[in-house]
Amino acid sequence: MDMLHALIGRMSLDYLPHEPATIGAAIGMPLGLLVVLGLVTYFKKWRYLWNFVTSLDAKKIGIMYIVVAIIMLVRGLSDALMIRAQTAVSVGGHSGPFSTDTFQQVFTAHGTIMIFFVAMGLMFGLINVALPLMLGVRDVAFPWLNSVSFWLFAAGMILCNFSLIFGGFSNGGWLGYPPLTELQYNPGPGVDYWIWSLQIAGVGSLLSGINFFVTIIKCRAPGMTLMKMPIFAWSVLVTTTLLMMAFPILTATLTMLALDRTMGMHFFTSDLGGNPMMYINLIWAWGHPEVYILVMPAFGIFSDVVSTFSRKKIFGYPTMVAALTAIMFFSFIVWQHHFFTMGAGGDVNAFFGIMTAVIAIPTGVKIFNWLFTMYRGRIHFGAAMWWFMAFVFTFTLGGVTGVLMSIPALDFQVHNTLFLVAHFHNVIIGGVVFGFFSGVTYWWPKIFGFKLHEGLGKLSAVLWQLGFLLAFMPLYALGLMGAVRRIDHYTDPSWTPFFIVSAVGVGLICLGVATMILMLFVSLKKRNELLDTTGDPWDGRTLEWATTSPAPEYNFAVLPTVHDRDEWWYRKQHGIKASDDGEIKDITVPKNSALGIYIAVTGGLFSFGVIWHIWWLVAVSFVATVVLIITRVMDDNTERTITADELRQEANV
Amino acid sequence: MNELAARADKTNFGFWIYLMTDMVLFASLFATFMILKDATAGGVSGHDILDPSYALAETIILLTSSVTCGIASAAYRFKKIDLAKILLFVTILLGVSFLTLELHEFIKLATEGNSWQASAFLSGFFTLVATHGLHISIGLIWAITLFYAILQRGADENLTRKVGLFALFWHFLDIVWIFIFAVVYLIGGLS
Amino acid sequence: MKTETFEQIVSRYLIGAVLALGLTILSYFAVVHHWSTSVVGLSVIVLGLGIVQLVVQLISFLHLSSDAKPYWRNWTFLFTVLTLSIVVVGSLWIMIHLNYRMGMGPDGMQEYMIDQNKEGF
Repeated sequence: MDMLHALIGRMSLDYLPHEPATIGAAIGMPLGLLVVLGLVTYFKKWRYLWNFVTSLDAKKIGIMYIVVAIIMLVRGLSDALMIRAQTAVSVGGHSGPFSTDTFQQVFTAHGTIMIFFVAMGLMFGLINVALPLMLGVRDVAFPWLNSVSFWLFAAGMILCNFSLIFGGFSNGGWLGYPPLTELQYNPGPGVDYWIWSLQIAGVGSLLSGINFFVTIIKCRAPGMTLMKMPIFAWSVLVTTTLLMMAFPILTATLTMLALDRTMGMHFFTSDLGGNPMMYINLIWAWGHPEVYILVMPAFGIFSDVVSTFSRKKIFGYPTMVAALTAIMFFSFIVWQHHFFTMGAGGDVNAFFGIMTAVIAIPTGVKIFNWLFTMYRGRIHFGAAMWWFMAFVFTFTLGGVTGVLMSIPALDFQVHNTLFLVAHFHNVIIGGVVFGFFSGVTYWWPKIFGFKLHEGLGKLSAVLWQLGFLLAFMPLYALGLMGAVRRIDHYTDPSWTPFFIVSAVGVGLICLGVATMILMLFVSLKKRNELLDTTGDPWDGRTLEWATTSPAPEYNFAVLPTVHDRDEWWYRKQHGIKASDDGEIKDITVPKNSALGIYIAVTGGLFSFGVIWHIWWLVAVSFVATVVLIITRVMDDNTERTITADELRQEANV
Repeated sequence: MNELAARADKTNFGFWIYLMTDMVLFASLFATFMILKDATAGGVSGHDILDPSYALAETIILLTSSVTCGIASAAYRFKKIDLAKILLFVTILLGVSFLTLELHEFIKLATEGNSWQASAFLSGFFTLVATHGLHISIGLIWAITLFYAILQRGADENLTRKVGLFALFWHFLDIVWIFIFAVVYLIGGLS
Repeated sequence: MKTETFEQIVSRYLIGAVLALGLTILSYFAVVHHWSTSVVGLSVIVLGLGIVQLVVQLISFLHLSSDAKPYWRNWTFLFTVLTLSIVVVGSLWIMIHLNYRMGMGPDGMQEYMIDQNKEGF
C-alpha cells in the first residue's frame, strides 16, 4: 500500500457530490454553519457559548438536545418534501426530479434522521429538562456521563450530515437490510456512514438510559416513594429499562455488519454461510422496543399535561403504572411481526401475532384513563391540551391499523406497502411527535421563563393535524391498492391524485413547522407580556413548578421533603412552604467539563477513520479516547461548592 | 446515608446496570454464534479446530485471576495495601497470560487459512471470543492504571470505590467466559 | 447489610474458587469422556454445570445475596436474564424455523407445500 493511501485511506475527490440536490446541500450546510458562527462572533457570545456547552447541568444539556432535534426536524421534513415531490410526478412516462440513487439516499436519511435524531433527541431533551426537577433533586445521577451522551449524539448527527458533502449516505433504508448493505452490493462509504452515526448515537443513548434509570431508582427527593412519582417519571423508568435491554442488541448487530464490511466477515452475506435473515431478526429485536422507547415518554407527558390542565389528579394512577409496565414487557415479545412474510411459518407467526394484538389492551386502558381524568375536570384548553386532543384521535387511529396488521394473514397483503408506511407515521406523528410538542409547550416556561404564544401554538397543532391527515390517509388507500413502499416511479396513473394530496399534506405540515418557528419569534418578541413570574404558569401539580422560571442551576436550595403524589398541588392545598424543608446549607454542584466534547470528537474521528479506511486515524483516536476517559475517571476534583450565603442571596432576589 | 456513601452506592449500582447491558450484548453474539455455528461453507467446523484442553487452561487462568482480583479489592478496602498490590499485580499477570494464549490461538487459526473471513461459523467464533478478549484488554488497561494509582497514593478513599468497580468488571468477564468455554469450546467442539 | 470481616470475605472467595474449579473440570470431563452419547445430552450437562457455576460465582464473587435490601441488584439481574433468554430463545425458535422452511430449495419446497396442504384447509 503506497504512502498516500496509507495516509488518506480510500478518500478521493470522486466522492464529492454530483447532483444538484446534493451539491446544494453540500454548499448550504457549511454556509448555514458559518452564518451561525458569524452571529456568535458578532454578538461576542463565545465565552457564554463555551460555558453553556461545557455545562453538566441537565437543563442546559436538555436544551441542546432539543435544539439539535429541531434542526434535524427541518432536515427530515425537507427529505419528506423531496419524496412527495418525486411521487407526485414520476408516473408512467414521466420521471421525477431526483435520480433513483438520490431518492434512495433521501428516504434512508429521512427515516434515520427522524427516528435517531429528531425523536430520540426531543425525548432525551425533555427528560433532561423535566425529570430531575419533578423528582425534587438537583441533577441526574451521573452529570458528566450525561454530557458525554449528548455530545456522542451530536457527533452521530454531524457524521450523518457530513456524508452529504463527502461520500453520500446509505441507500439501504433506515434499517440497512443486508445483503443490499453488504460489500458485494454496496462497497462505497454510504452504508458505513449510516452504521457509525448510529453506533455513536447508540452508545450515547445507552448511557443515557443507565443514567436516567439510576436517577429514578437512587436519586429521588426524601419521601418520594416510587408510587408517589409523577407518571412521567414512571414512563421514563420503563423507557430506560427498554433502552438498556434493547440498545446492546443494536450495537452488536451493527458491529457484525461493520465487521462484514470492514474485515470481510460473513455474518449476513449471501455467501460462505452468511444469513441475512439473522440480521433482520436481531435488528427488529432492537427495533420493536425502540418504537416503544419513543412513544412511552409521550404517554408520560400526556399523563402530566392532562391532569394539570384538567385540574384533577390522574385517573387510576396504579393502573397507569401497571399499563406502562405491561406495555414494556410485551414490547419484548412481539418483534417478529415486522417480518411475518419472511417465512417462519404459521406457529411462529401466530404466537407473535397474538402478542402484538394483546399489547393494544394496556394502551387502550391508558387512553380511557386520560379521558376519565378529563371527565368532570375544570379543563383549561391551552395549546398543550390541543396537542393532546390531536393525539387521542390520531394515535388511536394509528393503533387500530396496527392491530389490523397484527393478524399475519392480513399483514401478508399490506406488508411493505404504503399501508404500513401510513400506520407507522400515524402512530409516530400522532403519538411521539404530538406528545413531544405538547411537552415542549408545557415545560417551555420552566426552561426559558416565558410562555409560548398560545394562538400560534394552537394554529400549528391544527396545521399539523390537517397536514397529517392529508399526507397519510391517502397512503392507506394506496397501500391497499398495491402501492409498495420506497418506489421512485410507478405506472398506474390512478394513484397520482392520492400522491398529490399527500404532497399537499406534507406542505401543510411544513406550514405547521413554519408557524412554530413564527411562534418562537413572536413569543421572544412579546416576552414581557408572556413572562412567567411565579414559576407556576399552569397552576401545576408536580415539583418542577415549585421553582422559579427558569430554575436555578441547582434546582432547589434545599431538597423538598415529599408528602404525597402531586406534591406541589398538595403543598398549595396545605400551605407548605419551601422554608419548611429545612435550613439552607452549603451544596456541591459539578464543575463544567469539556471532556464530553473531546471524547465525542475522538469517537467521531474513530468512526470517520473506519468509514474511509484510514487506519492510523482509527488507532490514534482509539488511544486518545481511552486516555480522555482515564483522565476524567482518575480526576477527584470535579465539583464546586455553592455556599449557604450565596443560596440565601439568590432566594431573596 | 452520608453523602460519600450515597455517591458510592449510586456509582456501584450504575456500573452494575452497565454490566447488565453488556450481558445483553454478549447474549446477542451468543445467539448469532449458535445460529451460525453449522454454517461452515464446506470448511472446518468447531470439532476440527477447537481444543477443549487449551481452553481449559485459559479457563483456569482466568478463574484464578478472578479470585486474586476479588481478594485484592477486599484487601485494599481493609487497608492491607501491600497484599492488595501483590494480588492486583498477579491478576494483571494472569490476565496477560490469558490474552497471550488467546492471541496465539487466533494467529494459528488465521495463518493456517481458517480466519474470520473463511465462513460464517468462523466469523461468529472470532467475534464472540475476541469481543470478550477486547473487554479483557480494556480491563487490563484499567487494572494497570489503578495499580499505578495505588503505588502513588497508597490508601485512598476514592480509589477504594474504583478498585471495587474494577473487581466487579473482572468477575463479570469471568462469568461470561464460563459460557464461552461451555458453548463455544465444549458444545461447539462436539462432532 | 451486615459487614463481613476480611477473613470471611477471603473464605467466601476461596470456597467459591474451589467449587467453580470443580464444576469446570466436571464439564470438561463430561465432554472429553463422553458422559452422554448424544449432542443434546452433553449440551444439557455442560450448560447445567455452567449455570450452577454462574450461581456459585454470583454468590461468592459478586456477592449477590439476600442481605442487600431492597434487592435492586438481584431484580435487575433476574430481569436481564429474562430478557436475554427471550431474545436468545426467541431468535433460535424463529431462525430454526426460517432456516428450515426457507433453505430447502425449489424441489424441497414443492414437496413441503404439497405435504402441508394434504389435509386441505
